[in-house]
Amino acid sequence: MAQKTGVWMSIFMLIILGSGGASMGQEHLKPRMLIDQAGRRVEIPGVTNKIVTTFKPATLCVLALRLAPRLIGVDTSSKQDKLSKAVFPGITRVAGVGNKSMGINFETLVSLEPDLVILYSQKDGLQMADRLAALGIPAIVILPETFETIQTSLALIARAVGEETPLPAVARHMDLILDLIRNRLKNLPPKERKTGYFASSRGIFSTTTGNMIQHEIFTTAGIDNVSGSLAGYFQDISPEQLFRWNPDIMVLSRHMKRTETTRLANKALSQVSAISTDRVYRCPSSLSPWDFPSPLSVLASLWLAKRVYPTYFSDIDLADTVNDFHKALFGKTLDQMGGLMDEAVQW
Amino acid sequence: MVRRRPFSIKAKGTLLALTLLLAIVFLASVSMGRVFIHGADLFTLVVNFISGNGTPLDLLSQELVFWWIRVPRCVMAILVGAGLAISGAVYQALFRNPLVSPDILGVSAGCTFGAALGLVSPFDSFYLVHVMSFGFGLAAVSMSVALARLIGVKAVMILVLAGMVVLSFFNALLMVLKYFSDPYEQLPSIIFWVMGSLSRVTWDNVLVMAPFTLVGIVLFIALGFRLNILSLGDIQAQSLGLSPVLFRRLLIVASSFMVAISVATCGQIAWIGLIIPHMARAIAGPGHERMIPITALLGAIFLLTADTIARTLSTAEIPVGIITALTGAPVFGYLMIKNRGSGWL
Repeated sequence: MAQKTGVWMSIFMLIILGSGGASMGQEHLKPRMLIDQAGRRVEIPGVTNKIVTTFKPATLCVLALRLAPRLIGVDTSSKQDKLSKAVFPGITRVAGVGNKSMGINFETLVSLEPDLVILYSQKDGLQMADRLAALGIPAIVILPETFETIQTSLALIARAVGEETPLPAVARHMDLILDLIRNRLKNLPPKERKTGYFASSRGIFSTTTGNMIQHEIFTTAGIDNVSGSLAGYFQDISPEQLFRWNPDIMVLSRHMKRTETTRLANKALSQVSAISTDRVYRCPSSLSPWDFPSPLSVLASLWLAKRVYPTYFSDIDLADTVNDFHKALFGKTLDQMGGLMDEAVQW
Repeated sequence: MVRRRPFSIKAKGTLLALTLLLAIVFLASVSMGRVFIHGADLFTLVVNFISGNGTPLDLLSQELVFWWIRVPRCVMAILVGAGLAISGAVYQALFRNPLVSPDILGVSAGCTFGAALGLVSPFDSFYLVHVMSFGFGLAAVSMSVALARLIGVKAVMILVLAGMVVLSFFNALLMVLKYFSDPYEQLPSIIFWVMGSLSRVTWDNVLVMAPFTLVGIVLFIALGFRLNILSLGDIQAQSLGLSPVLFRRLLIVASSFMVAISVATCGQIAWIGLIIPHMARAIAGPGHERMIPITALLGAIFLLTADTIARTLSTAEIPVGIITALTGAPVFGYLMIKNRGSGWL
C-alpha cells in the first residue's frame, strides 16, 4: 500500500512540477521542469517530437506509452528485439546509438538533434545527461528496477513528452495485474510459501540480488527469493551455495544459453529441491523476456504465482490475461505478434 | 659437458615438504565450503568411498556436495594451478626471459578470444570452445615470437613488447566481439568467461583436464634437462646436439595447449604463470629438473588457496582472478625489487 502511495505521490509531484496541460497539443506545450529518477532537475523547453532511447527498458517504456513514431534513435539491441519490431516495425530503420554495455556514440546522439534523450543511471549515464544538458539537449535519467520505479519511469517519460493520457492506462494495467496477484495470495499461509532461485543469462550460478526486478517478481508472486540478501547487480555464487539454499523452484533467464542449462543435469545438483522435483522453468516469453525491467515484468509475477500456487489462480486464463495486457500496452496481442509463452527447460 | 644434476637431499626435502603442504591445503579446502559438513561425517564419507559401502540416506546431500562439487573443484584448482605455473616456467626458459608468461605473450588473451568466439557461435558446443581456445592461443604465441624475430634487436625486452602488441590485438578483437554480441544473450556469458572461475567444474571437466595436465607435467619434467640446454641459447644447444627448433616448437605447442585447456575450462586466471616460476626458482634454483616439479606444486597450492578463499569467504563468490592479482602483483613487485641488479631483469 505504501509502495503504491509512493508511486502516485511521485506522479502527482511530476504533475505539480510541470506546467504543461494534458490536453494541450504538442505545438502549444510550454517549457516544463521535471525531476528525473537521478534527482536531476531537467527543463523541457517545448515540443518533444524526437526521442532517443539508450537502453532496452527505456525503449520498451516508450513503446508501451505508444510513442514509437517519435523515436529517432534507439539503443542498438532494441533494433533486433522481437517485441520492438513487432510493435513498431519501423524501429529497424531508426538510428542505432550504441548500448549501455559497450557505450553510446555521443556524436551520433547529438547529430540526431533530439528533443529528449532517455538515459540509464549506471555507468556513464549521469555524466552523459549532464553533457547533453550543456549542449541544450534535454536528457532524463530513468531507473526502472522495481514495479514502482517502472511506473515512475513511465510517468516521467509521459510528462517529458507532454503526453499524460496514456500513463494511467499503462499504470492501471500494471496495477490490475499486481492487485490480482496480491489479492489472491493475501491469505497464503506462511508455511505454504515457496523459496525460489533466479539464474541470470550469465549462467546457472549467477543470480539476482535484493535490488533487482527479479527479486520483486519473486516476492510479488509470494516466493521468497533465496538470494534476496545479496546486494548490487548479478552476483556469482558457488554450487555449494545453491545447494545450501535448496530452493523449491528455479527460474532461468530467457536468455540463458543451452550450454548452461545442461549443467542442471550435473549429479551434484540432483538433490536440489527444484531440480529433483522438476520445477525449473524458463521465464516467458519468446518475444521480449518478462524477467527484465519493463511494464511486462508484472506478467512474470502472475505467471510465476499461477505456476507455483495453481489453486489460488485456477480460474485465471493466463494466455487470455497476457494477450489482453499486450493489447492494452501495444495495441496487439502476444499471439498476434507471434509470441509464445514456452517455459520448458531442457537439460 | 653439461651434466644432469641429481636431486640433492635438500631438494628432495623441499619437494616432500611442498607435497605435504599441498595435501594439508587440499584437506583444509575440501573441509570448507558454504555447506557445513561435520568432521565425523566427512570421515564417514571418505571411509565409505574407500570401502565401497553405500552412503547412509541422511548423508546423501553431504555426499553430493563433498564428492560431486567440492572435491572435483579442488582437484581442478590443483590441475589448473600446476598447469598454468608450469607453462609460465617453460615459456620463461624457452624465451630465456623471466618476464614472459602465458599472459604477457598474449596466449591467455588469444585463448580467451577463441573461447569467446566459440561461445557466440551458433553451434553452442563445449568442444568448439576448447578447440578455438587452443587454436587462437597457439596463434597468439606464434605471432609474438614472429614479431619479435622480425624486429630482431634486444631479444629479451622485444619479446615482451611483441607479446604486449599481440595481447592488445586479441583484447581488441575480444572488444569487437563483445561490441557486436547481443548484450542480453551473448555478452553475459563472455563476461563470465573472461572473469575466470572454477565454480562450474564437474568431474567431466576434470577427466578431460587431468590427462593433459599430468602428461604435460611428466613431459616437462622429463625434458627439464633439455630446457636447461635450450635456455643457454640456440648455438649452445646445437653444439650439444639438441635441435632447438624442434624442441622449442614441441614445448610451445605443449605449454600453449595446457594454457588453452585451462582457459577453455575455467576462463582467464592471471598472474600464476608469471610469479610462481620465480618463486620456484628462488627455492630450487634455475635447474628445470628440480624447478618444474616445485613450480607445479607451488602453482597448485596457490590456486587452491585462492579458490578456497573465493568460494568460502562470502555468500557470493569473489572472482578468483581478483585474489590471484591482489597477491600476485605485490609479490612480483617485491621479486623485481629484490632481484634488481642481479641480472634477473
